[in-house]
Amino acid sequence: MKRFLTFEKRSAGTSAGVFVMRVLAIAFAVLITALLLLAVGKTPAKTGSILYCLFIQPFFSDYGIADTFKSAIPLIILSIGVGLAFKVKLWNIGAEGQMAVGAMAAAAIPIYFPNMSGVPMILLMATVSIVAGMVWGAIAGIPKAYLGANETITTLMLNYVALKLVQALVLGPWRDPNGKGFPVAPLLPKQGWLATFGSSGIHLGILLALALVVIYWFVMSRNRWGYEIRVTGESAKAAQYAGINVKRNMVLVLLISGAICGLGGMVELTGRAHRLDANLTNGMGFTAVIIAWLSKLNPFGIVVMSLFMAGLTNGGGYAQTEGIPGAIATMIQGILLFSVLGFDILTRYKIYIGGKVIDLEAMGISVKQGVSKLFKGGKKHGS
Amino acid sequence: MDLSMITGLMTAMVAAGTPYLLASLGEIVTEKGGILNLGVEGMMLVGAVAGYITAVKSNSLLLAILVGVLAGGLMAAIHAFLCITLKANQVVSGLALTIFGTGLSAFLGKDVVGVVTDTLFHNAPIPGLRSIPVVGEALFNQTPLVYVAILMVPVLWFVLSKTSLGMKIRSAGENPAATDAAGVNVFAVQYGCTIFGGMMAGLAGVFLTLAYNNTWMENISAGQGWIAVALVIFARWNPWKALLGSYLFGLVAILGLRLQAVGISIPTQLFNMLPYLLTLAVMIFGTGKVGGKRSDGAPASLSVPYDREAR
Repeated sequence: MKRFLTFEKRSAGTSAGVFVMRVLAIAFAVLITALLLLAVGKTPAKTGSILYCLFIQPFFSDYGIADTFKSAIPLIILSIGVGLAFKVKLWNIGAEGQMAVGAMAAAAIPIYFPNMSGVPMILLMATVSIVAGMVWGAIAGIPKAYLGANETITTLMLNYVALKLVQALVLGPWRDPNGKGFPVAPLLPKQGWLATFGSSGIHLGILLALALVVIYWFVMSRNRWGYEIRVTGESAKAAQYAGINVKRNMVLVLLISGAICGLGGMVELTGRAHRLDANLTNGMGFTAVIIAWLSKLNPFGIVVMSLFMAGLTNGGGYAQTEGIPGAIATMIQGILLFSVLGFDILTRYKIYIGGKVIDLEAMGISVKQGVSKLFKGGKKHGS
Repeated sequence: MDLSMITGLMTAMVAAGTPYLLASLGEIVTEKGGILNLGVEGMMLVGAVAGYITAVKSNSLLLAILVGVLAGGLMAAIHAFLCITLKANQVVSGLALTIFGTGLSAFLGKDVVGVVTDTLFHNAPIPGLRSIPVVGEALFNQTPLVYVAILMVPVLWFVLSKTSLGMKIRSAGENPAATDAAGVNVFAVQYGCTIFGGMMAGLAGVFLTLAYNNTWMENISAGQGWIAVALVIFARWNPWKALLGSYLFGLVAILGLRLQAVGISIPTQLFNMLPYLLTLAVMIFGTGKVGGKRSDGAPASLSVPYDREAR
């Protein structure tokens, strides 16, 4: 029987195909956003300026670029953290909570040891944030490995526990008496701030983030343990037969994943926020889940997607000047994700619609050829 | 504690547990059909705001329910299209749905934040039944949606376990290929289950804005949709256990406030943690695999996309 719409499984897509798919998906998401804005009664001009705020300003204006880099730092760190867990098909969506406990643990140091000097204080803050994130990871990881407890739900519940804990602290014992009534912890002493590059506001955390990206790349592509992780992710059964200790690796991965996210909390605290409050994490843990997934766990893809998502979130802020809530950025992230999810089928299937074939690979290759033609004589295109 | 206090506590428990119940019943049906939808929180929020806006604009409670339920169903339809037709990853799609719903509801609801409406649900006591000591007041002097939720329990239990439709749903979640071979339209069944789940989540949202909080604010569900997802596992995909679980979680949610009222002082935030800690404990200690086999009654093909060509 011939049907109108059929799917044919194909081998894994190449980078060219994936690139074409991403561009299509982003274009589609922009289109849907524009239609949605028009549908709720925004004029075309207004829609244009909102789209400008969202997609152009964060990436092409001096102020916007610096802001985008600043916002991308914690996202890169968190995405590396959750990306590591995703490699083993562990859905750690607890980056938000792990980040919160990391920031909380780090904030405790200057409160209880206000007289430490800069470097030891920052190192101690980093250490305790790693430990706190690790503990949060362990609460999900150990039951997952040994009791089969669903880590999606446990990490998620731990997010709420962490955020309530931070709330209790900033409303109670850690509340800043000079906080003008806001539930915030006191400002960190200056020696506990990460140094910034000039007046850009981009802080040392960016070096840490990039170091983590390189380490992640190295471990995943050049290291034995990384290989074990990859095999475990492909097929836990095969890994078991190959003598890999799957349970140990599961726990280990969630511990390290939690540790990285905890550190991300410390970096955001010491680099940008400079004081603990309940909104410090601001949904970044969830954005990181999206980034890790959109980048197909590729470390350099994580950097690009983090910058993109950071810009989009900031763009939501700029769009508030156009009289729409900042939440629109959240909504667009959702639309974008739907769009990428939908277009992703093109990398996994050839689709036949009424006898016509849609083959992403062919599109990717022709785009690649077109691009190389444009740059003829330049260096060859690698993948 | 005297009797009237216990009655008061139970009444509050039933009301607080109702959104959990509505949403988790919907998710049970979705998951029984083999689709995992982690977007309950987002569907609930969109249902909540859609219902509230409709109530404010039209002053019709019935229309508000209808729009809220429809909005939840539409949200679920996105998930269904991506996961069933396009075979997308169900975890990511569900997450995207929650993110999208959180943003969309804030965007749509901007103009009704702080707007008051009289189009609200009121208690509709059931004569006779409400005179049963303690339980009567708690269960039968509530808003109509509470009764709807309670009624849905036996109805869904019956449909899922005693009817041929229920048989089709369950087999689609267990072994879609065999179900397909038996001539059942698996895609239609899964679409139906997913959309039904969204409609129930939408109804839970309507309950939040028009029967419980009586207002709209950003992120009004505050994680309740996620708790509903956890409840499905807690309840082992059984509507009756979902009823018990929902009220238990409702009790935990309100206990903090009540204990403060009688002078036992625990920081509110710490007490608010309890539902999450309880879910965590349930997940850790309640889902153990016995003898290496899944003993939890989870549909065997849950979250595995059904690929017809790969049969």
